Amino acid sequence: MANAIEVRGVSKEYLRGVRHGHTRISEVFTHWGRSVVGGKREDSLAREVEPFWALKDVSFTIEQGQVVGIIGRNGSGKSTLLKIIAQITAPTTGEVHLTGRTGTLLEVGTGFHPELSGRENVFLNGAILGMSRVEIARKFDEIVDFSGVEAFIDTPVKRYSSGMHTRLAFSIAAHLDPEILIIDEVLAVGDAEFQKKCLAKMKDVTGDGRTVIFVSHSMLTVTSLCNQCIMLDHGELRAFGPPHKIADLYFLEGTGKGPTSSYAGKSSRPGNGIVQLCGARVINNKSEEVDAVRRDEPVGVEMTFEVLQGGRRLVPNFHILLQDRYAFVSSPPSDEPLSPGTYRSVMWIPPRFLNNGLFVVGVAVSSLSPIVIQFFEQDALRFHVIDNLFDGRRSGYTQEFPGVVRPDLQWDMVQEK
Amino acid sequence: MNSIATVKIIKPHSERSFAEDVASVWANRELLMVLVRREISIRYRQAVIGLLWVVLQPLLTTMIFTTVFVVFVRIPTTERSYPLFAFAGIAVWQYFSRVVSEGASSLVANSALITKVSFPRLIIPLVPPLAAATDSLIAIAALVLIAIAMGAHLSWTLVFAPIVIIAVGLFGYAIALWMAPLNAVYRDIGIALPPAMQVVMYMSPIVYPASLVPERIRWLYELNPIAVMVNTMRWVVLGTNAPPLAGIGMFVVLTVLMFWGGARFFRRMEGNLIDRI
Repeated sequence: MANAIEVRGVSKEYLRGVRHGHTRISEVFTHWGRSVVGGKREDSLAREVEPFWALKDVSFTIEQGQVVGIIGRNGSGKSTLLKIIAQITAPTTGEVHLTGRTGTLLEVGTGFHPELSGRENVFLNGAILGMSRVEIARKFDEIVDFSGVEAFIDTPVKRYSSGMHTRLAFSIAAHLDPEILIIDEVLAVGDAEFQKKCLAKMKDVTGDGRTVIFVSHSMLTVTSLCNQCIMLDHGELRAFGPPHKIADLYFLEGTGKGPTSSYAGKSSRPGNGIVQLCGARVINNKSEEVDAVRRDEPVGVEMTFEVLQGGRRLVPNFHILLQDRYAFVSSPPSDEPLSPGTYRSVMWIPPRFLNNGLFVVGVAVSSLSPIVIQFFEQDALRFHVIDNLFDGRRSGYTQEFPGVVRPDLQWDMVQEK
Repeated sequence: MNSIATVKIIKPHSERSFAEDVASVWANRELLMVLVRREISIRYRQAVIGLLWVVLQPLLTTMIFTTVFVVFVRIPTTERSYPLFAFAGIAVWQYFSRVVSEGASSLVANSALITKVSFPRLIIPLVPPLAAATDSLIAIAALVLIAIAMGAHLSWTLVFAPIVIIAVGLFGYAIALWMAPLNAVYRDIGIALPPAMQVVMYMSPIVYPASLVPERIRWLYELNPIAVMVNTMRWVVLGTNAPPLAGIGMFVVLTVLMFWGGARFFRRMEGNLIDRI
């Protein structure tokens, strides 16, 4: 596959301390004046100006047909990166090579004029987004149809409700047809019904071989739509890879915990003279260690422990939490006394049971009669459950569901009258 | 997919040539025309008499100055009909002043556009000269009609009037290329511009004839590019004395220099403009 976007060592410097756009001419004259008079160099503007690198040496390559999400916390430089790729602002150093016709959607309805009718605005906004007049004319009916504002198409846009305004604007954007599409958070618009239509449209767009790059705050959207993900952190490229891996990194940020905990040296093992923890991990149904699972896959949580003194009724148990909220505690059904040796036990969480999010696993072995906690590693493992926005049970709902679990329950519904 | 791919390279500091600038504006002519059409169609919308304002604006100004200069001041007009003389001057001046002032504020006014979509920024200050040109042409047509109604002699050179308008528009655009990026960073420009334009207007023979200017400095006065523009229009339409050839030459040289330098300056400012606007 050919490369669609090549970002080579791009850095972007902003001057902090300069009030952008408000630098007064008097300041400039003072600065010039001082340098003419021969004042010390430190006295110049340079002292007040503190360089701030919004992006530091970012490089990556995106192949044609990939759908790439850019995530990162506020101030990580993701919008700056998008604006450079969209050719709105220039990089300070480095280059970007774009192969193909690009279309940019940093906002819906850019250039809409309130005095103009919906029809006039379709042509205006379409041209601003880079469509030719012929192309807009050809797609006009489709655009109007998609927006659902046919009845008001010749009314000035200033008479539109904000919902109608957004719907018309998005419809135009959705019919943009470039080879490389650059998008910023445009999914966060409109009412629920329209969001559903937009998502379906996005899915179409991302499925037909064009290259899409978009910035989002929503990990859910990124994992649902993208096949590659870029994570930025303080202007630097933290990671580039499959979204579920990056999602994991994104949520694990700073914890250092992952899907496995192993305790090699006997001295460092949690536990006591009766039982000790050897290791624990999160696995998928192929017994592979995973840091993220899809919501419709089973999750296995495994622990290996060594019994040093036999004859006790030892019960391994897992504590599952979504961030700091308890989901459940689980232990195996049998509690026969165990003889010395190494045991491995796996707890299987069925598919479509946990809600999406970052789960924390506490690993413990307790003994019954009398009840003694032999060891309890509170934050032994972490894994991420990833949802799909196009899941049928979501019925087009694109927001987060509250709750730690989200089982598919049986529902009976009949019409009474 | 596409075997013939267009590669676009985004570099830190634009090192485009003037020719590339012109080519990129040409490549985006469709967008330019859409923006011009937007400007024209919203200007007199929701105004009861709509397009009539195009003629009424210079007409009202002409009436005011006719009252002041002919009735009160009683200037010795060498040109017999002062209203025609003033109307021609005012029509040209109003076009020029609109091109400069709207051009200067164009980047700021369109900041919503330029921070969201990429296209050659040179298009933005080019919208006012094109949009206002229609108004200007209508005003000149009105001048011709009034001249006929007043029984004045019309010169065959009338056909060159559109060329004069183009020249005025280009000169205004060249100035806007300097003003627009400066105003985006230093809003002082936008504040200082209206009084500065007033000064320039009274320094030029727009509402009073050049004959009022002391003879010693009149040659200098007639080199003023505004004077050249206005007098050329009068010469072309009303058949008055042609402006000195030196003045026209100066105007052409100045326009070319301002345009070339302005395009360079604009290009230099363009790269980081949206960070500073």
